[in-house]
Amino acid sequence: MNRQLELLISIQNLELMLRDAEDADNSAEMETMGLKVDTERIKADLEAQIQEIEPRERGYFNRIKSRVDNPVVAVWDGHCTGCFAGVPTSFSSVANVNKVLHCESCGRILFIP
Amino acid sequence: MDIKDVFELASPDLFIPELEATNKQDALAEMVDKLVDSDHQISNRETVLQMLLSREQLGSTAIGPGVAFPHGRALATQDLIVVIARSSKGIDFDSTDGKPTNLFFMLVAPPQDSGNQYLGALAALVEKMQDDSLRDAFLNADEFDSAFKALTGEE
Repeated sequence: MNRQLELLISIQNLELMLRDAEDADNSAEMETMGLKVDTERIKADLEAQIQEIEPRERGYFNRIKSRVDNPVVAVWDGHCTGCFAGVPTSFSSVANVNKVLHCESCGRILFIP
Repeated sequence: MDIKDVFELASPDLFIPELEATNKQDALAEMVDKLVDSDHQISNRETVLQMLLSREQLGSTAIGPGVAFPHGRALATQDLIVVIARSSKGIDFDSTDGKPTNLFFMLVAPPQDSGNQYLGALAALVEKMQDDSLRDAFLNADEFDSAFKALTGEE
């Protein structure tokens, strides 16, 4: 897989971890289980990975992130899971495996699992 | 969510009776491979493995005794999935007590899940695994069904 796309997916997965860690109820339960994660460490990892993205893609990522919480989403059943618009079937073709693709409707970065 | 509900998220095809791996990274990779090989529409091995490794870097999920709960949310799944694995020799998983880890419950959750199933499943597993006798019974069970019965107390 394209390293840039790999990074973008990893960043979004870390964002999900941060969202859970910043939720007071979730965090309290995780602490009870002994599985609490320090939010500052997640943020540091996030920042480090964001800096690894190529400047042009990083600029795009930051623009989308200023509008939505989930700038990178999966395509399931032919739909962008951010805005639920249909995604052209050509997006799933082999020729696109190594490309960072964007939803034509909402602009989110798409990941085809 | 109780332990029976959790086991409905697991299945025999997501059970590794004996891990071949002898270290942490290989153990995670073997569990992710099991997930990819099963019928759960996850084909993207690397992104799931990367998510689990990132979580482990933030602090080991081997909270003991002898049990680890590698977990996290991943774009690559639509459903909460539980992979269960055992290692009779034990694996160094950077556990909090410094001892080898024999039992692994890997939870991979979608970005959103109704009723926060993910946390409920994790809590149910952590609670059950605090019981020495249940843990031993689970570790010594021959197969998935008997392991399930060991935890739920079913005959």
